[in-house]
Amino acid sequence: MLQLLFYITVYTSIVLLLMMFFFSYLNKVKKQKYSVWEKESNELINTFIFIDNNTVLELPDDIHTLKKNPFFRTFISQKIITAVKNFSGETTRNLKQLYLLLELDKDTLHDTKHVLGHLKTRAIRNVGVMNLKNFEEIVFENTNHKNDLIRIEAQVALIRLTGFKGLKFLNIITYPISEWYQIVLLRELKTLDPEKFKGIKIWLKSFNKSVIVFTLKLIANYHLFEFYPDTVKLLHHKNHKIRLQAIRTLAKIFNKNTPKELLSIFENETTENKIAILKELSSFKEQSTIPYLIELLKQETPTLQIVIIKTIAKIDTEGILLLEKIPNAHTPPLNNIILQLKEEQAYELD
Amino acid sequence: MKILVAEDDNLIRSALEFRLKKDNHDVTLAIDGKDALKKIDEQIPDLVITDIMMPHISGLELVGLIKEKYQNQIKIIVLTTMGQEDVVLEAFGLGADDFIPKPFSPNELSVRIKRFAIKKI
Repeated sequence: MLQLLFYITVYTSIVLLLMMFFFSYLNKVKKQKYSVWEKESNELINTFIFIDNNTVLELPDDIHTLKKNPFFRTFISQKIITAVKNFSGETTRNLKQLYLLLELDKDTLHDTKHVLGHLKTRAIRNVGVMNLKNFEEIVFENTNHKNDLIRIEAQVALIRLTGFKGLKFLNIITYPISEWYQIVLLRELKTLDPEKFKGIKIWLKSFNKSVIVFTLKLIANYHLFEFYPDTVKLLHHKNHKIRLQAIRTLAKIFNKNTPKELLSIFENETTENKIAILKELSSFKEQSTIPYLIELLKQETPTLQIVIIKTIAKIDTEGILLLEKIPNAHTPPLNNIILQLKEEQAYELD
Repeated sequence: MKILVAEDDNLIRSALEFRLKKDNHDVTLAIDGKDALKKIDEQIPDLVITDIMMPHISGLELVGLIKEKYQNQIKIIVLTTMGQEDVVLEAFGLGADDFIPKPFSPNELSVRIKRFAIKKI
């Protein structure tokens, strides 16, 4: 029995050792192959990056066999994408030409319809980076995909392909755009030259609440003053997040009536929105709002009282003196809040 | 001009080498900040072009270490990602001489380097 165990152990060890050598050899071959590909693709990409303007762009003969290898195609495709992300100007045009000469757009087309989500996502991203305009329709179809990664890549790619016109996906999307993806989209738009937006009025009436919030952010970021009345209307929307964004947007396109508009909704707002209103009021520095704010001190919770007092102090540098004149300024909790504010101001001055 | 390129991406590194050699510069390549420091001490280049995001020693750390040791003897251009204004300011604070936001045009880089070459003469 012991002898049998010994033979089994020896046999297993030999098999494991052989397997180890085999896989190590395979890994070495793979590394060598990738090292050759690395060199060849770098040379090819560099040739296309630095080619003279008048030269006809064509593939060297030795690449024709290699380009049939699907693994090499994926490898060089990623290399070209990296190069396009890092270089600009004429270089990008040449790299796009290389992408087309290697017929990598056909792989991209195939992958945009792939059942595997990560391949589909990558393909759509590549469409945007390589600016493959003939893929616009496929990209647009995916802007309302149930998979959020595919959806955001398609939305970003559509903006890259068609600029501000790409925002047409806001007309059709049923899935919400998360806060993070709204930032991603706004960052993408930042690289474009501002132009006249088409569709704002429609998007502000969208059944998709995140579309309304995103549109309000567009109004704020691009200072679209003509939509002031529409934004004011949204201060009365039943959704508190839309109202919150409307408050923030109004502050970016404000006029003399804005403080009044914001104070008119203050009483019935959520605590979060009340704090947002106070923050905006402190930046307007409108003296006429101080009596109203002092009045509010009588009815609000201690948490909000602190914010209100700080707002008053920011609106008027003599704000603390005004606060000390109000009837209950010397009884808790107001006296404590005022004292704390004084200490904070003294600390800031130091 | 003796130029050291510190960039962890193989493709970008080789593209920069290709372009700089075309402009008749003497080019040394470093695959990360640590490698760059070693080669700088060996060769003392006139100019260092460095990426910000690199393993072991970041581009910002590299800028600080070079300026601490070589002051104005070595000029530094940092390659940053578009929109990283805070990183650019930090690099200038550490002593960087110029920056180029990615994506960048190799021709623009070439022109900027020529400016340094003229100043050196």
